[in-house]
Amino acid sequence: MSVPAIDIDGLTKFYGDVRGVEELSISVSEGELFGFLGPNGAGKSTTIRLLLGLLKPTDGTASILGVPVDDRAAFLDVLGRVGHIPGDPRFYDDVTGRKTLDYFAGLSGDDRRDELLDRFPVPLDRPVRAYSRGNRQKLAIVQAFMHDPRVVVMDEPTSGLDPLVQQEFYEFLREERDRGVTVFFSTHILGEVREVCDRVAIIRNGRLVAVEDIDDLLARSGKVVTVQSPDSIDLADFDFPETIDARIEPDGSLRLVTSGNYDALVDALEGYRIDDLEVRETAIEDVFMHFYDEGDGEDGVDAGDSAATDDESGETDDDAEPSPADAEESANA
Amino acid sequence: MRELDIASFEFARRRRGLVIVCVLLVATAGLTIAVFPSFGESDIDFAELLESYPEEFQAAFVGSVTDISSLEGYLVVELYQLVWLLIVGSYFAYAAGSLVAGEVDRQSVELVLVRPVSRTRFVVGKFLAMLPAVAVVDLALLAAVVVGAGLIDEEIHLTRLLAVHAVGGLYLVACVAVGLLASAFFGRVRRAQGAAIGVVFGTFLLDSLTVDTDYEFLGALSLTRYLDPGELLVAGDVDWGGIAVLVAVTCVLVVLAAEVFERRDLS
Repeated sequence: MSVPAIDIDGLTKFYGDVRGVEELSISVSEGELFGFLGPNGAGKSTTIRLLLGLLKPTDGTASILGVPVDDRAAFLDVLGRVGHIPGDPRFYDDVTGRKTLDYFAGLSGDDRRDELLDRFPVPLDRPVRAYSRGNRQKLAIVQAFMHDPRVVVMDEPTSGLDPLVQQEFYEFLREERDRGVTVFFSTHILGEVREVCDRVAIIRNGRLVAVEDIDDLLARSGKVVTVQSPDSIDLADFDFPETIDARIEPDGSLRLVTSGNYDALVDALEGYRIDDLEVRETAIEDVFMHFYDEGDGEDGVDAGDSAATDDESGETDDDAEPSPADAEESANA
Repeated sequence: MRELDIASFEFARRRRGLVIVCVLLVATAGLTIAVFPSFGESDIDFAELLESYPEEFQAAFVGSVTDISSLEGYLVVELYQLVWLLIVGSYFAYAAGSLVAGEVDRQSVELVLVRPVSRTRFVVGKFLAMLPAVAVVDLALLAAVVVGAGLIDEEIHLTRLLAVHAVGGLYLVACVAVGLLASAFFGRVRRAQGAAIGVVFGTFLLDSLTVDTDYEFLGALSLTRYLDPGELLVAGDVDWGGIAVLVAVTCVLVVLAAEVFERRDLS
């Protein structure tokens, strides 16, 4: 087996007593498009800074293209083959985009600036101070890719891009992946993960919750069944081994995520009058909610429609809690 | 040479500030020199006036000069001792305070140090950027003094003047190194600049206030202890030992700055 493009092993960073990340282990193969998902403050940026040697780990190690980050001399060499977009890219306000790129070109090379600028145009001759957030982000894309890196590490690279440019960027990332470039990027946007990633690592409170193949994740995560009934629904009736998540929505309907065994479901439904019944594919949001639900609820994941909280379901059963056991299982899988 | 890329980029960004400093300094020199003729025409006994200053004041602002009726002596007291050593020195320490901390503070460092640029090279590049800046300021003042002296028809000892500016340049470079170390150590520009200017200003005062006291040895901490514009310009004595100290201190501070920066977390 070849050397992983990115290998993070037991990476731990404490700021005094405050945990940045703890015992993080992720391995990314060459040519993979890898997502790193977590709510704000989960430790994504800390991980990326550790990986690039901007921070020193408290424990553990990280390597890129087989070279550990603490092997200073060799790692500097590797950095010549790495591109990076920081979380909030800050350039030199009084310097024009062109001169900024000239400067970076002098430090790490320039093989394809023009091609990138055609795709992600910016007002090159204006000082960066005058750039919009989107233009700054495009400049960040150009500087990250212009020396034709083998590995690209990006911290929320699409923030500030308008939707059309975002799509263009996704397309570009897929092309880069197909050329063999390894792409590692953090995001808190689930749709982005589904749209572009091959695999995803999920981080919460500085700890790795899961590393999953996107297709597997969606395939394994079953279907969402929604039942509306004039009767009061007892969650205990739906506690099958295949149940991934069951909850009573604020409007009194049952929302069940199940990986199969529809016979048992049909049997359980026999005791109820049914106004409406819907069975649909799991949206990625449903899947990821499992990873976050079991926690302390301080997450800021952009989870779209699945935001029903337990407090709101006052009119229904008290035990309208998601069942954490199964979720935990799939999380540790 | 990536240090030179870093240095030339940094220098280019500082050009505007540098022009302003030069203009202010040249104007100060011009005014100072313009006043000199009327100074000599008055019938004040300047030797007596100097004598009457407290010793600390003399040490700080007069230096070793005993006669300010000559243009050289006058310039040392009015220009080199105060404006050059204290104000321009503090300025360069302050300016250097933002060299590294500025990039860390504004996070642009995250776009630079993820390239094949070691932190040591980064620090050295930043230091090198200030050398032409010091040279420009140094030469601007030199030119202003030479031209000014010509305009008021005064003779000035050119070799000695060059010596003052050569040694003065080394002193300013040492001030830059003080700022560089503060800049590598602190993550915030304000703190780095405050520390840098505090050290240069504070040790200047220390050097002046401890003259002829039991604590005179404390003045050895000040860079100003190692050059004496009065000796250079009036007497023409070059203190090679002092020059060696200035150069050595600069080297040590730059190495320390690089080492401190290598070991730091950047965030």
